[in-house]
Amino acid sequence: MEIKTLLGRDYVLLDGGFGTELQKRGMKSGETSEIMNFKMPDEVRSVLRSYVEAGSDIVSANTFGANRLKLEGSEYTVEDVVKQAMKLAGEAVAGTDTLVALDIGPLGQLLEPTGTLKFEEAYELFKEIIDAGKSRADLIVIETMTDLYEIKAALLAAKENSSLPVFTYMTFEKNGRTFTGCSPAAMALTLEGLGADAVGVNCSLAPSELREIVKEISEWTTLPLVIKANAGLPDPITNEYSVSAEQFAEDYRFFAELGVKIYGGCCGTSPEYIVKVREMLRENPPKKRVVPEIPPAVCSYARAVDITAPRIIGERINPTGKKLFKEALRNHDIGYILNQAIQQTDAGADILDVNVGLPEIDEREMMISAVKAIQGVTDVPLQIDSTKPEVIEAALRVYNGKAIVNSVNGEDEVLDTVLPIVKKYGAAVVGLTLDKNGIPPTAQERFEVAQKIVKRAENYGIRREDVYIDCLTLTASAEQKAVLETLRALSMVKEKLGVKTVLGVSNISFGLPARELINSTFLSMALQCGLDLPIINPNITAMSGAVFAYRLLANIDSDSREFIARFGGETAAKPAAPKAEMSLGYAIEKGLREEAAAITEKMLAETDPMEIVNGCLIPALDAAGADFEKGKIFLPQLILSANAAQGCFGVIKEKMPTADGSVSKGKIVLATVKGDIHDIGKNIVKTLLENYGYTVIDLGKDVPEQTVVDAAREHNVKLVGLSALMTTTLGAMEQTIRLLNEQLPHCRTVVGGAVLTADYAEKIGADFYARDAKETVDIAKKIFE
Amino acid sequence: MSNVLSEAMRYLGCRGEPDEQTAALLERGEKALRSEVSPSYCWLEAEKSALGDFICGNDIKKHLEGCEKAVLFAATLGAQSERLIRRAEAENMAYAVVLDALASAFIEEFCDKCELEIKARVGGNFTYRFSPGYGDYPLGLQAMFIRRLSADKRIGLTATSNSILIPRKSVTAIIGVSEHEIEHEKRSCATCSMRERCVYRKEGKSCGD
Repeated sequence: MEIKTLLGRDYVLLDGGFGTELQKRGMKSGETSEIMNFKMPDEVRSVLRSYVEAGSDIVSANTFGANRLKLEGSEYTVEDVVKQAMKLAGEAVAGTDTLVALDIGPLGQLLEPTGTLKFEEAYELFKEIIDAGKSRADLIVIETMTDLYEIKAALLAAKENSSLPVFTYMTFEKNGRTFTGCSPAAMALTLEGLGADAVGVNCSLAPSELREIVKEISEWTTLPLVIKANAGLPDPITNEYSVSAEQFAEDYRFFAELGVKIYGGCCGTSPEYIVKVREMLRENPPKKRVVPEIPPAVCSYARAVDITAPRIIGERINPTGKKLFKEALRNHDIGYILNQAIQQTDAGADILDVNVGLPEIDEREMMISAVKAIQGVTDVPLQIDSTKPEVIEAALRVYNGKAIVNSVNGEDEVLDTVLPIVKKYGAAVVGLTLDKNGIPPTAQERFEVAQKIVKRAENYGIRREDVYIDCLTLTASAEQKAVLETLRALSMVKEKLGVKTVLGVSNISFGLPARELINSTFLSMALQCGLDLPIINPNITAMSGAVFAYRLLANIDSDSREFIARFGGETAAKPAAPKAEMSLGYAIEKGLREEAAAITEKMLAETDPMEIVNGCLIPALDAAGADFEKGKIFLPQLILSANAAQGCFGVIKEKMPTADGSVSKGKIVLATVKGDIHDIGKNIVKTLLENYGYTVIDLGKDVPEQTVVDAAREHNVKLVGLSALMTTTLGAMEQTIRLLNEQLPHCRTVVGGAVLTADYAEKIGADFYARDAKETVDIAKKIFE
Repeated sequence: MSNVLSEAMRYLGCRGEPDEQTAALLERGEKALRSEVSPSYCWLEAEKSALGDFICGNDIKKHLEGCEKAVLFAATLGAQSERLIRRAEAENMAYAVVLDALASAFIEEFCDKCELEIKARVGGNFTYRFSPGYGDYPLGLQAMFIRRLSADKRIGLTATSNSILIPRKSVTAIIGVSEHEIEHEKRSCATCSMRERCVYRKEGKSCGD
């Protein structure tokens, strides 16, 4: 039977718990269920057969944990195990209509950024399972996933390496989220976008606890819904589950009312549960589901942002015209970009535009790093901003959610290259109303381009709701008449095409004084004309404030709640104008970053930058360092002083006439060694070094040995700093040092970390041991003198 | 000052009262952790004779002396604590350091709370929590704890191939259970992996003082 035929029925029955059933037949607790395919094939077949007899339309082969990570140390390969499991399942369903699913569970290691497993590695691990099992499977089931990123890797691997239907289930907790914070809405939006054939929940909770979660999923997807609950939780002493088969089936009535299509059981359920569920469904056939109208929306792994009201897209992650940003890109300084992300989120951005294009860098590689890092620290959805299809695709691939692509235009070649990518990854897309001939002058002509874009998108299977049209802002100083034409086009597009609109606002005031005034006025005009997605600098209160005020005045922000929450309290302290008596030294000592920056700005008018650095900044930091050593101040204060110095450095770098960091005292590579993920100590060292004027090439955590060497060579550094916190990763540190000594004998090494001692550092060949961040600075000073 | 705050201060190496700015960071961090992190735990009770490979080395044997049963235990602050710290690192390193220390104190406080709940159910006398990495008890056992407790499915806890627990602010432990009084109730420097480097010990004190 075909899945399609099966889904045409009132309901579809899956199987129930597998491990517990195998334990009843003799598997010991703690044994690996997948190995039982070889050790007790008859019993494995018998469990599956018992579900066939209970009435399951689909049974899952015993492949849940058959991945390379979990099978490591066993005598079997993934291929062995999967092939054997599929064979047994095939035998169990022989002579019946029951279908066999290739069952894929979590890999057992957390993905980046919380874990160490790379998205790309996860994809390969899943691909291996799919390649081994696809020929004998009727469908693929991906289940018990708690990380949207991991299920995305699995789903992509399934879609790209087979033509089988794919059912996808995630596991939620009582708080309505998965362990990694994924929300039902984000799950539904993302997985449907990526082409799943059914979505739902399994494991962790009893049926009665899953109601709200399944209901929320049902509001965000048109796909068939799946429920596969646990029979409650096992008791820690008796190991028995709390929900009986009768109760379980009774509690499933709620889901039949909701129109759920596919029913099964997870931990603690048995064929008896499936029989009871079948009986219940026969008497209470599920209601035909009214498929909801899904609002236009994008999402991160955690947060869905619906575009039913104006939402702010933050424009600051973009190097155009920004010297420090460009320098950060050249040095691969992701921290700088993250800071921009957080500032904008705090200022009220709902979505962040990400543009990291710079001619002299590898944009694709940088985009991947930036997207991965940004989604690790904020949960606002991202807008991928690039003109290069390969950059767009790379970003969409590693994005954990449903993103926006910025942008396509009316040119056929662009549309036919980019739209298929947008469709494949289930993204939304910005369409610019221009084509080969440039920006059409009249509203009518821009409307026609928009029409073409929308039509083409629909041809590629992209929903109209996922196309956002940009009618393009022209500079008022150059083309004053065009301002109203843009707004006219915006209204037309919105009314006649029924799509959402997006507009970069800040360009309008280029070349004019009092830009903020022009920008915020234009923004208000555009909002009134129906603008949904203003692209602005949210850090400017007049801009983000205009959107918040609009939402209040347009009766969207009911009871002004959002507005009052943001503006009702104390107004945020402005970067204080430095008090006349405050010195730079004092500001640094007290850790007053904004004051330090403001004082520096003033001093620059009459003092040489290097004199500020060497005459004020460094002595003040040294004083803080000395106090730290004496135990007069402690680590947080030392870092606060360093932060204040950073504020000062920022100002100096921005004002320096030369292209890049001529204030730099030298470059240092830092890394937390392979296998170790405790990098906070390394990050403290980085902060301190930077604020003493060193340029730090931060390679992050879990860094392979050779990567450290390559970076040291590429940047031609004299000093490499390595950190490790665990005894289990000291070997990787030793190996890194060995490679460095072999390949770059002139490069020195400094090591640190809780488990290290000076003796041990010497033993593994390090040149220096640093007890703390302060000592690392002292060592750097010595080396770069 | 709350216990979590004073513990965090200790992890940060701060002595005495915190200065104004550190105090503000501590307050902000504690608020964030308490409102945004939902810690979870799982456990099971086993006869000592059924512990099998969990008895590994001398120190665990000593630890469970006189106990008839044991509780296997795992707890974690979850992925959200990692996210908070990551975010703080990108925003303000001083805050990140404070938050990291607070999270360490917070997981210990949570474990204490869990232990009370478990004790209420199991009864008897408990030893202190003995974790992989204490004394000669191998770190390599982390994966076994997770498997036996299904801690990956139940609370989202994993271990890397280097036996690092992820999320990082997590604990696995064995607690000995006895019907009789237990003598050695407090953890000492003898089984501490930091004993050679400990600044407290160098001063002739211990971190428990």
